[in-house]
Amino acid sequence: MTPRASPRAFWRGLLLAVLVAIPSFVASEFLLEVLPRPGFHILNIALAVVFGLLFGWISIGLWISVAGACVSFARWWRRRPPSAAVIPLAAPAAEARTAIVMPVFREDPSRVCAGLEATYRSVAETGRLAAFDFYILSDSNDADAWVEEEVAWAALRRRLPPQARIFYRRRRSNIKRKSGNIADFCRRWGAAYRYMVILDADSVMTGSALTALVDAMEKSPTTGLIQTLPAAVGQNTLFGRIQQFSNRLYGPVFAAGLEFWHMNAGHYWGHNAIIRVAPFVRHCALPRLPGRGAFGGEIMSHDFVEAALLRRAGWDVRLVSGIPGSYEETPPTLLDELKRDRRWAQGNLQHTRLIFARGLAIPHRVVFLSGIMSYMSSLLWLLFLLLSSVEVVLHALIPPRYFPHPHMLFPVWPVWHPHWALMLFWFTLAVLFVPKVLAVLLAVVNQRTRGFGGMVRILAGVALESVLSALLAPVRMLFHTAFVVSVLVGRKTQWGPQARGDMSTSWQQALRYHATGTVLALLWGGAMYVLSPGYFWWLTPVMGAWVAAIPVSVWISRVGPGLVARAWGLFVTPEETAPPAILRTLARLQHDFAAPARLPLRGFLAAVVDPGVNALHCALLRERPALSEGIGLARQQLVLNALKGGPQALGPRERMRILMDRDTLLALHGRIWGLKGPRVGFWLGGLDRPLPAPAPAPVRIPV
Amino acid sequence: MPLDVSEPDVIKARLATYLGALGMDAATIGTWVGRACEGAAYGGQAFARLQELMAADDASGGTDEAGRAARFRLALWMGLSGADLAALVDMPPLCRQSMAPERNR
Repeated sequence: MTPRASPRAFWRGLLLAVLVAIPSFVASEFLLEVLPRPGFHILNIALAVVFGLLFGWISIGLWISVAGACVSFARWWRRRPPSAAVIPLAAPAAEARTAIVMPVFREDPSRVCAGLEATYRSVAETGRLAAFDFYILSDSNDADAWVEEEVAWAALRRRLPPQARIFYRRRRSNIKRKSGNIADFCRRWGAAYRYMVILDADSVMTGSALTALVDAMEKSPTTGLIQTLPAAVGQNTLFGRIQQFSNRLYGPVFAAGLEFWHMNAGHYWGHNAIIRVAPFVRHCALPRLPGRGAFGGEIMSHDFVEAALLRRAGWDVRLVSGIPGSYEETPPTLLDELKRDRRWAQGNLQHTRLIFARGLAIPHRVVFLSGIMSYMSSLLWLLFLLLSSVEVVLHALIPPRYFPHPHMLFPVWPVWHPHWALMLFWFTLAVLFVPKVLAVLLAVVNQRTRGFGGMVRILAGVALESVLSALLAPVRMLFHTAFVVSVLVGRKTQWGPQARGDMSTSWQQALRYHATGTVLALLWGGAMYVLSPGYFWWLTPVMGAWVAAIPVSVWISRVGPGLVARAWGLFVTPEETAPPAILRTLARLQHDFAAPARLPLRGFLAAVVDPGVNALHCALLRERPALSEGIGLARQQLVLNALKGGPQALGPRERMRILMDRDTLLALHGRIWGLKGPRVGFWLGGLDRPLPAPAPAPVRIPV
Repeated sequence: MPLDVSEPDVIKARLATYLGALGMDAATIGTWVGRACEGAAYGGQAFARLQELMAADDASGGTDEAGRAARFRLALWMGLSGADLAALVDMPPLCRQSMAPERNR
């Protein structure tokens, strides 16, 4: 079934296409005028085409922001709420059961459980807790991470009433990663729920946001998915704080613009969104893409594809930015962001296989294209710099021909309009800066400036953020280009855990990742300085950023400068000036998090030795069919090897084999506590003494 | 009662650590350690007796002694009664459905 675009959607799409295409064409033509003449025709054409594509790309951002600002100003003028979705239902449907689903992969389990508990308590405050179930869906494939998740979940359950419906499940095989984890949930338990809300490991949502989402879905039976706009919170490094500030200041305008242009074929970012389960199950099973290399196999950036499939089946997919109470965290350092971007680059470039898939709505094809351009634009930018440098080198090395044709009476003088080039440069900068100006104006009219520390601090924040963005953009460009090239040559990325919290970049790490850019800048910039000093100064914003990348990357990754900025009131956000109750709860829970284990053991060792953790792990294991004689003997041999060599003798696979079989784990646990001789020390070193008196039984906090 | 093992103090301390890790109070630990070590010839036997005591105290009625002992440990560690223990570890009932791969449609 191919969704038909409404006339309004058609005209909006056409308008955006015109608004982007015409200025891009004009800018390309203007660049041709700016370039020195007589020049190198093919090179000039190539430069104009690349510049036109880049200009079109940045002007899409401009028009999204302009539309968002217009919509937001209109709502302010008419005193309307940010979105109709925030109006609660008069009589909420009790049967609208909703699963809050949090897929995790080797995340900090105490943060995961604290976030889920804060969300749980907030839902309880709405009085509609009975309609919600909570699931932690683990794909962790590491023995220590698995056990730590179970212990953190147990700590969470100890703080809540015994009947709390917060479940922990770990998949044995993490096929198709996060999308496979969600699909596995849908196959097993999806039929019991009308809706599911997907949370990331660092997501937190208020009960009022969750019930507003359910009510919005109930009010609109044609809606298959509503994506909220998560506010970035919890950052302490300077980099994280600046990203958080940008997200909170510019995000609402941009999201309102996306709402305007995409209408019912909106974005899905994979988390902080509610999904109608039945159509998701029916239409969103993801295929495995044929072929090898980075473009084949499992679909990595599944969220865009799932949204497109839902819309293709006729369900509305909406981004609703006006629902407050949706929060997430962002990468704490530039290198962490770039590591995440490596995965995203592959996922987005993989969408080239899907962009022409049958029946997709045009806005979702545009979403795919935007994702691809997010990374391809870096390659184009670098190409533009290379082509312009080649042009300059050719002009420097090849003397001009004043009489290119025979029998000419007058010479052809070289023409070069540096002031036109400057004009184009300033115009391009304006395209980049207008969205920021609009966001500040909107903060003023919506009386949000106090949340950012006041008008002076907003302006200072925007100015400093712009400087940092200018410094980081060339660094991101270089990395993104490398990512695109590595994807194009077929290198796949590994699935690793995402960095969260206050991580800092060491000088060694910065040197390792940024040294190539620094050397490239010195060589390229040096060559240009020798050949064409005038052009060299045009390159300094890029080359300078590459040269400064190592110290900048280290400095902005640190918590100290971030906290100093906060003390000065710079880069503060509304969630910091007036923290919502759920974030205060989250901070308290993270601070007070106490695992129930009393022995000083963690991870795999705790599951084998600690009688409580061992019992918990065994209880959470599923029943297994009877083992064959051969496997049974192999398990016994594994226990003997473990007793003989201690935990150090066990590799990751052997540890997982022990953890996955209840009988093996129980047998090893029993044998260890009865050991004698020197092997006791392998497992029970330092534990052969009575523990201090146990702490009082945990107080279950009522909800 | 005398403990007939080579290192009685070490074994007693180890059993006390074991029960202490579960959150058992000191007086009960003393009683249980005494009962576990009664007549035990070596540490492994004392620990096996402790498991028997735990399994006997579990009211679930399963036939698997190691499993019953583990349930007892979990209930003690989590501070839960039998019914609440079932609610803790049980997942909701499965209601399976398939997600047909896209290529089949």
